[in-house]
Amino acid sequence: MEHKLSSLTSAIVQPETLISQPQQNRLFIDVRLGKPEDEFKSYREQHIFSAVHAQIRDVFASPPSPVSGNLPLPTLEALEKQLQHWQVDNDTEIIVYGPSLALAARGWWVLRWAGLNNVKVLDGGLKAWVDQGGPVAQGVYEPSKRHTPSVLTLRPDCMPSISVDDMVVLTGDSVLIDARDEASYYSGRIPRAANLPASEQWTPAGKLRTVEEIRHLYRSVGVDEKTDIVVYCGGGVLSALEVLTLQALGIPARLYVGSWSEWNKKPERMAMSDVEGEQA
Amino acid sequence: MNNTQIKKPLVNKDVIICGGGPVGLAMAFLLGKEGLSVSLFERRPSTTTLPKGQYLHASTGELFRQWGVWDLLKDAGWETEKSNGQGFYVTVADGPVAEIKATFEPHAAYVKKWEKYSPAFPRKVPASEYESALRHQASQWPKVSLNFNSRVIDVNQDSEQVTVTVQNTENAHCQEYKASYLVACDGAHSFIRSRLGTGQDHGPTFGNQILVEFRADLDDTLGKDGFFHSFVLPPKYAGWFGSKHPTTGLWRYSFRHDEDVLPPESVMLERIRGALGMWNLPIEIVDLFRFDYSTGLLRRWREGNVLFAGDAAHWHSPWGGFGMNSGIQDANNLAWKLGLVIKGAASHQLLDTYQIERESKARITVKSATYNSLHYQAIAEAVRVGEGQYFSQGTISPEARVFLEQRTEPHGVNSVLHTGYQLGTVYRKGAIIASDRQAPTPELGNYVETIVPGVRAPHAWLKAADGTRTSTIDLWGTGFVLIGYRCEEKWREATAKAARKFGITMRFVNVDEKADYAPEDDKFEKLYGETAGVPVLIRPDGFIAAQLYVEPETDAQTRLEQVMAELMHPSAAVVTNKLETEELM
Repeated sequence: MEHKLSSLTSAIVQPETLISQPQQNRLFIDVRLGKPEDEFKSYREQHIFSAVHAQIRDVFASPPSPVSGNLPLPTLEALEKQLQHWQVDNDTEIIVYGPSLALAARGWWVLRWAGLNNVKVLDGGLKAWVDQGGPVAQGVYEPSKRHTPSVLTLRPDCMPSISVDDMVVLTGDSVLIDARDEASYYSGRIPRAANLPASEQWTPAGKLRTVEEIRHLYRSVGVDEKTDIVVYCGGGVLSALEVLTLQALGIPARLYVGSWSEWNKKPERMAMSDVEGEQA
Repeated sequence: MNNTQIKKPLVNKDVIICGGGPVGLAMAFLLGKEGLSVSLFERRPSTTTLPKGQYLHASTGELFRQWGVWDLLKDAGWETEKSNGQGFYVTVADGPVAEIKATFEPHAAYVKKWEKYSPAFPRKVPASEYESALRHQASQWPKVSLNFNSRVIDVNQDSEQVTVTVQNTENAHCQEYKASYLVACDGAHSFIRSRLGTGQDHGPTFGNQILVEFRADLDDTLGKDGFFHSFVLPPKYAGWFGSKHPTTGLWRYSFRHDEDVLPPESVMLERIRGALGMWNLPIEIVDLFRFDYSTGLLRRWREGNVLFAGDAAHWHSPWGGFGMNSGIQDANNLAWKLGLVIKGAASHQLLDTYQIERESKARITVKSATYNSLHYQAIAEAVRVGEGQYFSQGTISPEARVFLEQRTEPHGVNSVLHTGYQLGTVYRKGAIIASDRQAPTPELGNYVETIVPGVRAPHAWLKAADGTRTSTIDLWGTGFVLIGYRCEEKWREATAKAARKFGITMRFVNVDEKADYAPEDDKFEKLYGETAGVPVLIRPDGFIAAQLYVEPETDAQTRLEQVMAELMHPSAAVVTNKLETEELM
C-alpha cells in the first residue's frame, strides 16, 4: 500500500478501508459534471449505496457571470443549505467520488475551502468500490434522519487560492501548471504555464498512479517542496486534482479557480497569453 | 402535488403488500389463506398486459395446483407443439438452420414424461392470464383487499409498525395505511427498496430491447416450426421472433436498438419482412415496447418489519423465465412463516430463515439469467462472423452449422427446461433440521429425487381411499404434514397433540395399501421405503423440514415437539446470516 498516494494523506481513501471501517456519520457524494439529465440517469442506474447525487454546477459552483470563469465557487449559503439537507455536520466523514477523479477532487477542494476537514476522495471511484465488493444501489438516495446532525459551521477561504488580479501580476518565481490536456494547452494558455495534464495521474481504470509516478510527473515540470505553485485548468476541476496530489506529496499549491475560462474573458489578458502556434 | 392532504389511517392490517404482479398476488393469496388481513397496492389500473413473462416452471405449476390456479389456466397458454424450444434462422422463409427442442414428442407424451417428476409440467402461459387467475384466487379471501391504481409514495417504519402513504393515481388523493409487516413485491425498480434497502450487488445491464407486436399470417412458417423463440442470425436483422400469442393472435419480434428515437414504421416493417425473408407479407404493427434489464441482488431481504420478495430482492434479464417463477417460490417460502409469526405461534427469527433459504436460489438465478442472456448473444455473434456470402444466399456455412450444433448441444434439452433448477431446490440451512445425509448439490440440468431435509418434497402418485388419484404435492400447502411409508399409528396421536400445543395446522398421512393413501406405483416406496416407518415432516411450503428417526412407541411425542420447537423458534446460530469462512473456501 505504500506505493499508493492514499498512504501519504487522509484526503485520499481506498475502498477497502471504507468497507472494513463502517461509520455511522459518513456521506458519499457522487459528483458529476456532464449533461444533467444523463448524469442523473446514470446515478439512478447505479451509485454507491447511500450516495447522494451532486452536479458540480449546482453544488460545487455558482452560475457563471459574463466576466467569471465557467465554474465560480458556490456561495457559502447555498453550500450550507445543500449540506444541511444531506444531514452533514462538522464531524461527518464525506467521501467524494465521480466518473473521474478530477470531478471528485473539485468536490473535495470546495468542501475543504468551506472549512470542512473530514473530506476524502475515493481512489478509483465506483468501479474500484464494486471491485472490492462494496454495496451499490439503484434509484435515488434520500438521506434519512438516521442521526441528528450536530453543528455545521462553514467559513470561506480555508484552501489557498489566487484571484485573477493576482494572476496577472504573478512572477516567474512561481511555477504555474496548466492541468488541461495538451490540445487545449497548445490552443491558448496563461504565460509561462507548464503543461501537466491531470489525466496522466490516473490509470485507464481510474485509479491514481503510484507515488513515484506522480512525483516524477511533477519533477518533470520543475516542482519541488520549496517552490510556490499555482495550478489552473479550464474551470477549476482538473486543477483541483493536482492540488490534491501535490498536497499528498506535502507540497501546498494555490488553485486558480477562474482558470482559463475566466482568463480569456478580457482582451488585455489575452494579449499577454501564449496562443496557438507559439511555443512557450 | 395537488390534493395531497393525507388522510390518517383508519385500519391497521397485518400485512401490506406493495406491488400487484405475480409475486404480490401470490403473497396476497397465501396470506389470505392463512386468515390474515392484507392490503395490496399496485399502481397499474389492473394486472399486466405486457407480452412477457410466459414461462411457467413445473415447480410453479405445482403451487398453482395447490392454489386452484392451474385449473383456471387449463385452456390458457400455448400448446406444447407451438412453444417448443429455440430455432436459429438465416431467414424464416428458408427454415431453421439449427434447433433446441424441449421435447420431440407430442404434448401427451411430454406430459406423461413429466408425470414421473411432477403432477404439473413446464408450459408457456401469458402473464396476463396467470396474473388474472392469481388475482381471482386472492380476491376470494374476505380479509384481502387488492387495490389497483394505487401508488405507494412514502414508507416509514418504527419498531412496531410500517406506515405507507398511497396515492390514488386517478384522483391524486392520498391515504396512509399501517400494518405490522410490509412485503415489497414492487419489482426490479422497487420503490420500497430505494427507500429502505441497505445495499445491492449489481451485474450487467441489457438495455434498449425493443419488442414489436404485429399481426401477420405466419401460421405455415414460424407457426409450423413451433419454436417459442426463433433467432435470426444475419446482423442486419439480428433479433428474435416470439411465437403467436394464444389469445391475441399477435406475433412478436424483438431486437436491440441503441437510439433514443424509435425507428419509423416503414423501417420497422422493412426489418421484420427482411428477417422473415417475406418481402410482400402484409404486416400490421399493433404495439411496441421498450425494455431495459439490469441485474442485481439485494444484500438484506429484511429491514425490521419490511421484507423483500421477487424482483425487488433479485432482478435480472428475462432469459430462462426465472423471474416470476423464483418470485412465486419466494412468496411460498415467506407466507407461512409470516402467518405463524403474526399469529404468535413462531418467534420473529423464523422470518430471518426466509433470506437464508431463498438467497442461495436467488444467487443461482441471477447467474443463470445472466449466463443465458450472454450465451445466446455469444452464440449468435460467433456464428455470424464470416458468413456474409452465405447469408446472402439464405444459408450458413457447413462450419457454422457444426459450430451451432456443438455450441448449443451442451445446453440442449435441459438448458431449455432446467429440470434441476425447477425441481431440485435445496435449502442447506434455515428452518430445517439437517440430518446426517446430505442433499445433492443442485444442478441446473439434472434433478436427483431424495427426501433429505431441505429439499422440495418429491412427487409420487397416490390413491385416496375413494380411488382418487393424488400427487403427494397436492397434500402440501395447508399447514404441516407428517408423512411416511408404513408408519405407526402412534404418530397420528403425536401429530394431533403437537398441533394443539403449538397452535398450528398439522396432519399425519400414512401411506400403505390400507392406510390413508395407497401408493399408485413403486415411486413412493422407492423414495420412502428405505426409511419405512420413519415419518418425514413437510413444511407448509412443501419442503422437507426433518426426518423423525425415533422409536414411535416411546419417543414420537417428544421428538415431534422438539422438532417443532426448533423450527418455530430458531436459535441465533441458525439465523445469523454471516458469511462463514468455511463457506467461502
